[in-house]
Amino acid sequence: MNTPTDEHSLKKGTAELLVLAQLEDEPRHGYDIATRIEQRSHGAVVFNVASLYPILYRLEAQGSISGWWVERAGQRRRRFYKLTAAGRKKLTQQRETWSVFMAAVQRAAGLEYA
Amino acid sequence: MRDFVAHVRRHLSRRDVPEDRFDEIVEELAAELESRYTTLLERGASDEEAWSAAAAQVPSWSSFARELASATGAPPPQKQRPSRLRMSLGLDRWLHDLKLAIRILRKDRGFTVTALATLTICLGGHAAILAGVNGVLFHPLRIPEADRVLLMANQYPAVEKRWGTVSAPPDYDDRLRHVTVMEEQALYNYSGVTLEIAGVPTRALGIVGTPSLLRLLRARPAHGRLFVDSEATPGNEQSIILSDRLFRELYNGDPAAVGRTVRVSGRELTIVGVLPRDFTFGGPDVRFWTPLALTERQRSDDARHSNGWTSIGRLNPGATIEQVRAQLKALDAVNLERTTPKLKPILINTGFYTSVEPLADVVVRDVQGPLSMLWGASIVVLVIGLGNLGNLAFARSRTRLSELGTRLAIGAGRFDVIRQQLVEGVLIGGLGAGAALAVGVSILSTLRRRELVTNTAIQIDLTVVGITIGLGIVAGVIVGLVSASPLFTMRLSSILHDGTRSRTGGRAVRATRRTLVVAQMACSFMLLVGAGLLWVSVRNLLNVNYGFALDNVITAGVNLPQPRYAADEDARSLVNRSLDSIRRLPGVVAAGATTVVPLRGFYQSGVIIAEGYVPKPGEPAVATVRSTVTPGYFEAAGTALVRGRYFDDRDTAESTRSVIVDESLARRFWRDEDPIGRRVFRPANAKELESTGPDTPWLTVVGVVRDAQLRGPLVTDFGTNGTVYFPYAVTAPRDFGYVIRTAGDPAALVPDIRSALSQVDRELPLFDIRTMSQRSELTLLSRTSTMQLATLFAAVAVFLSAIGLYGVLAYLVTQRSREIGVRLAVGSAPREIVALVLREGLGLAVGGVLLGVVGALSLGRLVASQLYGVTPTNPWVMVLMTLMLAAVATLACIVPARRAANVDVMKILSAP
Repeated sequence: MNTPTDEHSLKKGTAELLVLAQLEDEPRHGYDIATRIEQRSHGAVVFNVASLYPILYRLEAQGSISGWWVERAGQRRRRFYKLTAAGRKKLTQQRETWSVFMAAVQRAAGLEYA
Repeated sequence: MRDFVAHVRRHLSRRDVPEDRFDEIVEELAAELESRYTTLLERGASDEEAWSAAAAQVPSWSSFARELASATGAPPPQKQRPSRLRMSLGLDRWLHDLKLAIRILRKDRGFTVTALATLTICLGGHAAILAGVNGVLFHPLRIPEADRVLLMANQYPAVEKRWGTVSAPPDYDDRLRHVTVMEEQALYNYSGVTLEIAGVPTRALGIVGTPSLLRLLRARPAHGRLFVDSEATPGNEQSIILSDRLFRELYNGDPAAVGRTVRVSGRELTIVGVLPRDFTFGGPDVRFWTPLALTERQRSDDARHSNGWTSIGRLNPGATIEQVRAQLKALDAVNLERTTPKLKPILINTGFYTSVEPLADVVVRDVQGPLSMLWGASIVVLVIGLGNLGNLAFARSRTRLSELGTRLAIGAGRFDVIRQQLVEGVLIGGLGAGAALAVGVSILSTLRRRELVTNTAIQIDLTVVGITIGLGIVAGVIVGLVSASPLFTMRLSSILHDGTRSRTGGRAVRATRRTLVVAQMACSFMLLVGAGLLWVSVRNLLNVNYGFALDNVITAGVNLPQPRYAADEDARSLVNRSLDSIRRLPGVVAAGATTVVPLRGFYQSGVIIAEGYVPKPGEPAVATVRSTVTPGYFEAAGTALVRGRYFDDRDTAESTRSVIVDESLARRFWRDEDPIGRRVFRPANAKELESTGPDTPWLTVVGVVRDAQLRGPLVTDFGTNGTVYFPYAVTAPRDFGYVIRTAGDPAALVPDIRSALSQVDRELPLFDIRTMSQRSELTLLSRTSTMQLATLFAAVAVFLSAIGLYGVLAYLVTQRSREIGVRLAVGSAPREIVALVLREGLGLAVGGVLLGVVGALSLGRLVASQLYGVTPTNPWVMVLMTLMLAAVATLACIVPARRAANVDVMKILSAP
C-alpha cells in the first residue's frame, strides 16, 4: 500500500500538472478545479484549500495562468483562472515528461500496465 | 450565516502576502471556504459539521501562510526576528564594528601591542597611586559623616612652631559645657599594655577614651555592647571592648567571649563587647578599647595645660565649624580671666588659644605632601603616554589611507568609518584599562607582602576601577578620533586617490606633533628634576649627624605592669638588676635605660625654668624635650659629653638633684658661661610654674652633652630649645626602653638580652626590638619610598618621551625621504643627512628642556616641603638632568638618523 508520505511526494510532483490540466478546456475557479480533480481521480487525489491555493498563486506568478474577478448578480464574486499561452506550453511539456518518466519507472520497477 | 471573511482575516496576517493583494486574497479564500460550507449544507450536513469541514480546509494556517508567502513572493514570515532591542539601539551595527575592530587590531599587531603596553604602564601606575590617594586622602576616617568630626587642641604658637593636636583633661569638662553646638564630645589617648596572646606576653596598643567616644564614632558592636557612662568612674574601670583583630587572636571569633575576663597588664578586665572588622579608627594596630575615668586631680585646674589627650567632637546637624570656633574663643577668654595673676602673663606670652579643625585634615597632614606629589607625577606620565598614543594613531591613520579610501569607495558612509575607528579606539582603551587594573592589583599585593603598605583602606575599589576604565575609554576615544582624522580634515578625493603620498597633513599638523613632543620632553624633565631633588634630600638626611650612634646599638621597649611594680623601689630595683645582667653579657659594651629611645617616636616635653634667667618681655616659657635616663645611657647611645659628667652611682638614689642638659639648652640659658653648677626647675603643673622661690626644689646641672636628634632630623618645632635629661631614680617611670651598645652585630645579641631580662623577671616582655640603624631607616622610610617611586615615574616618563621623539623623527624621515634622496643624489654626504635629522631631534629636545626649566622653576615651590637641605632651584640638579635628557634624546634620534642616511637613493628617486 502507498504510505501517506509517498502519496504526498507524488502529489507534490504532479500538482501543477493536475491544476493546469483542469483549465485546458475552460476557465474555472478554485473550488471547481479542486472538485474536478477529486472527481476525475475517483477520490484518490484530494486538494484542500491549503494545498490548492499556493499552487494557483505560484502558477499565476509564473505566468502560466491568469486570474480575474467575475461578478454575477446576486452572488459573491469569484476569481476565475485561465491558461495562458505559456501555460499551455507548460502543460504539454509536463504531460510529456510525466509519460516518459512513468514509462521508465514501469520498465524499471517491473510494473505491468494495468 | 457564518462570516468567512472575518474567519480568514483572523488567521491571515498582512505580512504573509503582498500588501496590495491582501484584501483580494482574503475575499477569494473566504469565498472558497463558503462554497464548501454551502455545498455540505445542501448535502444535508448540520451547520456545525459544515463549518468544521470548511474550517478544516486549512489544517495549519502557519504553514498555509508560509506557502502563500513563497507562492506570492512576499518575504516569508521570519521564524527568528532579530531581537527588537538590538534593532532599536542599532546594536547590530556596533557589534559588526566590534568584530571588524578585533580583526583589524589582531592584524596590526605592532600598533596594538605598543598602544596596549603604553596604556597598561601609564594607567596601571596611576591606578596604584590612585588607590593610595583614595584610601588615605579621601577617606581617612572610615566612620559615618566623618567630615562632621572636629579636633580641638591647645595651641601655643609663640612657643611651639608646630601645630598642636592635644589637650588637657580639664578642657574636656570645659568644652562640654561651653561648646554647645556639638552633639557629642570625647577625650581619648593611645594606651600600651601587656597581654598574653597565644601564651606569649605581648605589647598591645589600645585606645582609652570616654564612653562617648565610640558613640561619637557611631561604632556598632559586632557582639555585646558599647561602654556606658557608669563604667567610666574612677575605680570602676573594669571593662574592655575588643577589636575584631584581638577577638580573633584570643578567642578565634567565638561570640561566647563576651562576658569572659582577660588579663591586661596584670589587671582582670571583663569583655563587654567586640567591634566589627571594618571599624579601624585609630589604625590597624589598635587591639582594644577601655573606658577613661578622669580623676578629680585630672579634672582640676592643676592639670591645665598638661596636654597629651586628644579632644574631638561631632557637630550638631546644621552647625558649622565657625560656631565652634566662636564658642572656643569665648571659653578661652573665660578661662583667661580665671587664671591667677602670676600665670596670666606667661599664658598670654605663649599666644595660647584653642584651635578647631576637621579631624580628617589632621590625620592626612603628614602623608598629603608625598602622596599628592606622586599622584601628580603619575598623571604627568599618563599625559605623556596619551601623547604617544595620539602620535601613534596619527601616523597609523596616514598609512591606512588607502584602506580607508577603499572602504569609502565601496559605499561605507563617512560616519560609519568614523564610528568604526571609535570602536577600535575604545576597544584598545578598554583592554588597556583592564590590563592596567590587573597590573595595579599586583603592584599593591607585592607592596603589601613586603609590608610597605599596611593601610587596609588602600584597595583597588570601585572608585579606582571606575576612574581607570573611564580614563581608558577617554584615551580610546582620542585614539579613535585621531585615527579617523583624515576623514575630518582631508577631502574625500584625496583620500581615494592613494593618500599615502600626500603631504604630512599640512603645516598645522606637523606643528602640533612637534609641540606635543616638546611638551612631553618638558614634562619628563620636570619629573627628572623632582626625582633628583628628592634623591639629594634623602642623601642629606642619611648624612645627618644625629648626636647618637647608629651602628652597633640595639634598643627595646619595656613596660612594667602596675600591680607588681606598684612601688617606685620595685621599678628601680628591676632596672638596676636588669642592667647589671645585660652588662655582664659578653659582647655588650655599655647599657642604659631611657624614657625617650632615640628615633622611637615617643617623647615627653615640658617647660624648664632656669634660676636667675630673666625672660625678655613677651618671651614665652622654654619648652624642651624631657628624657629620663639611667647611668650608662649616654655611653650606650654614643652621645658625647662636652662638659661635666654623665650620670653615675651618685644619681641612683631618689634624692638626687642632678640634671644633664644639651648644648642648645645651655646656650639658650647661659650663653657662653659655664652651665655646670647652675640650677633649673621643672614645674610639674601650671601652679608650680607661676611661683619660684627658696622652697622650690631646684636641680643642679652636672653635665652638658652634645645635641641629639632624638626625634629624628625631620622635626623642626621646639627641637632648637634642646633636651633635658633627668635621672631615672627620681621618678622611676614604668614605661622605658633599653639602649645597648654592642661590640659586634647588635641583632645577634637579642636572644641573650632576652634571657638576661627574663632571669630577672620572667613575665616581662621585650617589644619593639630594633637596632638603631633599623630605626633610622624606618624614620626615613616614607622619604626613601617616595623618592624611589618618583624616580620610577621619572624614568618611565623619559622612556615614553624618547619613544615619542623617535616616533616623530622616524615618521618625518619617511615623509621626507624624497627630499633626502635628492640631497644625497646631488652630493650631500650621509653624514650631513644624519646631522640634519639630529638637528631636528635635538632641537625638539632642547626646546623641551628649556620649557622644562621654566616649569621646574615655577612649580618648584610645590615640592619644597618635601626637600631637605636643597632648594627647588638647585642648579646642579638641573644641569645633571639636562645632560641626562640630552643623552636619551640623542639615542632616540640615532636610529632614524642612520636610516635617513642609508636611504636607497635610486629607489626613492625612481618611485612614481
